[in-house]
Amino acid sequence: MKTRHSTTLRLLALLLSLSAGTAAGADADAEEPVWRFGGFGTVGAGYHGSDGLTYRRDLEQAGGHEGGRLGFRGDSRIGVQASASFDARWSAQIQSVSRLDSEGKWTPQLSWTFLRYTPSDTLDMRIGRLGVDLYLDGDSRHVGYAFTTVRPAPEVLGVVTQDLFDGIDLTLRRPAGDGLLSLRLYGGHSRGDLSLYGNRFRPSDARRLGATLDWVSDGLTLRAAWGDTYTSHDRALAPLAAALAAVPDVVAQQRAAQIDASHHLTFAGLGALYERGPFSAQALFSWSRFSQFPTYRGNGASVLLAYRVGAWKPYISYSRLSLDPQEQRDLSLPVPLAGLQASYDRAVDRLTMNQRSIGVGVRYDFARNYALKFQVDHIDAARSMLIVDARGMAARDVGMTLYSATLDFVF
Amino acid sequence: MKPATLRPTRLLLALWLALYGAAAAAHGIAVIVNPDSGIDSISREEVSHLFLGRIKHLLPGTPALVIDTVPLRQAFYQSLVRRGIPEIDAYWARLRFSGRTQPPLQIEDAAVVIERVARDRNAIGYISGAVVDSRVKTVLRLED
Repeated sequence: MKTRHSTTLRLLALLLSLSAGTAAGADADAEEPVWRFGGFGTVGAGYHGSDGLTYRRDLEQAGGHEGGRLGFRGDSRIGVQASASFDARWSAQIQSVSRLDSEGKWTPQLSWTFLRYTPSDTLDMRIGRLGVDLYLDGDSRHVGYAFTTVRPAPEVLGVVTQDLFDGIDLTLRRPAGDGLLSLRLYGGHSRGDLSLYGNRFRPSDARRLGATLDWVSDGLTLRAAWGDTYTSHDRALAPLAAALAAVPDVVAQQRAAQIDASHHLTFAGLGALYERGPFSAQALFSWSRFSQFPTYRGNGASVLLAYRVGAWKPYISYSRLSLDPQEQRDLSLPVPLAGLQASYDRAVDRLTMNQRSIGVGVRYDFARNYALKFQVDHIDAARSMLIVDARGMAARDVGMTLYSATLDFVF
Repeated sequence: MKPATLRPTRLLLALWLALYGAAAAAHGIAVIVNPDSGIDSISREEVSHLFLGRIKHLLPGTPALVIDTVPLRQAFYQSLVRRGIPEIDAYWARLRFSGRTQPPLQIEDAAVVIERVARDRNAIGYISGAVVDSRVKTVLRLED
């Protein structure tokens, strides 16, 4: 982790020095760099009564809200940021976020750290650590103040992991109707971890390509997003493949041959945000497909309705997730190899999720740059990796009510 | 119990804000640019794009200096996009922390806004229609 961060920082420092030199050379009247500093944070509390279970807001966190006790680990986080404008075209940003991570620690993580070149309103390029823009009301899921709800819908966005990448993006814009149309293309090496079954997974070589098409007007934002992630050298399933290959059975050996060290995940999403006067409505739909063993098909959806009354903004939300394996399960193994069948089933089921939640809450903007939120969610899950037991295993047939209160701020 | 009292400075500020708000209500809000900018008029959509950070240039080449007049923010954004200040602040939090752009410069005093716009060809701001003078040019008028 330290090596990668320091590599990114060195690259950024080099790019910053180059850009500063370029700017000075290109424009004798260049102004001094303008530096801005700021940050954001959330102090969040949550409680639910499902003893022995932990509710996680996303798959990257090792923990969350534990049953039967008031906890602050799931939603609390803090981020700091420095940005600089070198001249009319060149700027840079560095941002770090601390939150509960996949190891259960609060180690700050570098996010949104890049050098930017903006020659005109129609073209924008960035290089460095960037994020995928899947979120309609904020390109970072950590800036709670930017969201209406306590947390972005976990059923849709909590399973979108590795939303940062080290790479480059290019954005093209042009007016369309009474709005602005923009196309963003990006690619690079994915960053981020997963916490599954009590273990941390860090794909060592994951490449991401993606595109986002946005149309934004005063009252309406429409977004279509697509992303592809390729992972190689994932050896997590290698022991299972070796065990299956050792069985003198045609079916077992066929399955062993299907287990590859590479994965291919395709994600597509559609979103709409309507804001007019005090009323706002947001809808998100997503589809995902894992095309290498274990193959999956899934979809998620979320709807949020809100109405502002002065400083108060009550809202209701509904979201659901279905992610099911497409593999044949029966290996027809002899009884003495039942343990291998169980291991195979666990591998096939490792991301199976069927969960839905309905929430009601209120946001209270009691001071500029501060918001309090109170939210109650009822969650039903036939199987979910977002709700795990003490060993980190997926919860089954759970119904829980989660009470949350957060203080979000920016500075 | 001791009755609540207003200090003279607070009283004057409250009076000024009331008078300023009343003047703005009577004359609307004027979106102003530098007379040398070469801009004669600007559409409501363009103003919205500029003040919400969707576009950054008023003139080719140099980013615009976009200025909020703080006492008029509520009326301005309500009139322009029918959104209140909490929504606008949340919106800017999204953009700031994903590195898209920076929010408009916040200036309390309309006289200072006029000075900045009069001094900078790339500046755009808004003030009460009642206080517009010849140093700046009105390119759009919003009813509040």
